[in-house]
Amino acid sequence: MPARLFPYTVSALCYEIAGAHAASAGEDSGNELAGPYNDIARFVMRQHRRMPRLLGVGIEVATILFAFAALARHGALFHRLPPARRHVQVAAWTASRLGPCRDLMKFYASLVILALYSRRSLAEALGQPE
Amino acid sequence: MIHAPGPESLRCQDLVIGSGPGGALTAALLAEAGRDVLILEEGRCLPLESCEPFSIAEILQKYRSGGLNPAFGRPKIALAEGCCAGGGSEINAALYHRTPEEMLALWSKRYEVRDLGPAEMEPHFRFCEEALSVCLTPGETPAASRKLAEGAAWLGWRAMEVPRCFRYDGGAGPDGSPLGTRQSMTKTFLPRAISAGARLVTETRAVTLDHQHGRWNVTLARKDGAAGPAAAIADSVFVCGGATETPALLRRSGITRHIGDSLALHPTVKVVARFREEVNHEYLGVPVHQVREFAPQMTLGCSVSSLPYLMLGTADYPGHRERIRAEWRQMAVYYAMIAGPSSGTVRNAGPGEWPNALVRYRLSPADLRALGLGLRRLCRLLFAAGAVELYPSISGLPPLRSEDDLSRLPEELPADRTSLMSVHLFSSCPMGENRALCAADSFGRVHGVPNLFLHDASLLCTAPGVNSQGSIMALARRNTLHYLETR
Repeated sequence: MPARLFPYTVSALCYEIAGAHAASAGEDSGNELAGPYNDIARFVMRQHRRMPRLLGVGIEVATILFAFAALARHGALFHRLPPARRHVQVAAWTASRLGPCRDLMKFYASLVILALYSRRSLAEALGQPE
Repeated sequence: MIHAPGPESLRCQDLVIGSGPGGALTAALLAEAGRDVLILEEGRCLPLESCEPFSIAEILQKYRSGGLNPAFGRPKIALAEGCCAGGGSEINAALYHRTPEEMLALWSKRYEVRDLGPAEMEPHFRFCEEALSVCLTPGETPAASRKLAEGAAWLGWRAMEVPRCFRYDGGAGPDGSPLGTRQSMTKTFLPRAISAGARLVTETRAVTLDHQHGRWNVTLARKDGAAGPAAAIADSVFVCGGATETPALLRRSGITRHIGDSLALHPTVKVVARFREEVNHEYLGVPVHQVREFAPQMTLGCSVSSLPYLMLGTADYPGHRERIRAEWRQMAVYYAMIAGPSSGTVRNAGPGEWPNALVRYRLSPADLRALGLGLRRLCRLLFAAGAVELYPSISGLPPLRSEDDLSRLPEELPADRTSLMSVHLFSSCPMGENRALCAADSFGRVHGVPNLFLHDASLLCTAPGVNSQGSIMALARRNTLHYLETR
């Protein structure tokens, strides 16, 4: 589990952020913003692998702290929370007084937004060699 | 096009590290002068057409670190650099400016750069402009771009259409916009260098430089430990890795005097504007107008405005998502960019053969005020151009709906609530005879080090206040000709 905690948390974050966009878009967004969001999570993980090593490790540590913060506050690791609790946790970190918490949410939100609204070309882009 | 080397050491007269605008031009001129030239490129060699410009595929294929290597500081500044054959010329907007004369004068005076007057630089600029087909858009420019000119005209500010390094082929896109090909390095100087005999080795990084017995021994590493040459041996080395990688390589090699101590950027703040009429569409070309009323200290312009970038630019306004998505054709992204006195450093971070350049940039309160002023001017201009709603990239701020709302903008951008970015980096190894400030001499030769030259953005003494490809290439030509004449 510890080795998988990071990708599980990233995937759950991608689902939460992308799902919020899809929900606010309503039904007229068609299939473009609809789940599942495994492609978005693949993109975020791939980008994470390309980051400078120290920065990538920093993001990984912060993400795991985020996962455990959910455990402390809501009684379960982030990826095991129901959607409503995940939403509360992301909202709390997005509005946090602590800069690193806001920065972490901004990092994931930026990547998810970029991928979600580029979805027509995302599959082809992810098919390219790393 | 690519030389596929075996595990042996590579031998050449002139080794060019980096194949961006400085490196490609340097390699072509050296090879055409009969020199035995080897070009090392860390990224892959991909055709310009391998992906849509400004797309997610381009970020994955051609950006350094996937575009995720910020300048650390308060606030952090997102940086975008190319990492592929052709470097930044493969991913930029190809907007072309000559170096402003006041900048050349400043560099001559303060940094004591010799032979840098406008008349001396003229043939070098002209050469680049001819080789890169620098020209104005032959047909209609993008509507979002023209809004800048309209707003400037209302306010009596000076605006201009910026020429591009672009060859138009007479065709037209679905919206009638003129078609053609960006004249990047993979379309121009890299093929020239290779047809003149230069060898290009890609996906290979120079780890360190070591000068022994009158030659340079360059330790090489292939990405992911793949087999490849272990070293290159050269009489002269031209480091053209850009403003972050060049100082990082020199510092790894023990060359540190004025190296990586004075990085300059163009910090940029963005605003998304919504108009009553459509200004945007799927095939919107590159915006080409800039407001130069306050140049070179401040430039106002229009950015890539596809839906993903509009949504990113308005990420601080979650309650407005649906409207933005529905009305994106009425919206575009605009920017205010400054050339202030703040500076940063470049160091190495991380273990092994692939340490990363760690960039720190301290944005002074004066620059945060300048960015605040730039943002207010930009918003004023956009309202003058007919914008009905503006979304500045400051979290916690409601959208602005009239000029009266401009009073809500802070005088000084709040460091903890502002998103900044920069696509222009320079000045990490400035040139000149003033040894108290400069890493290299007036022609790019590193002070006190034999046969080691810098031919890239790191040489520019300060932020030039304009898109820098023209400055980099003109200086690279000037310095290469000087090398060929004096070696």
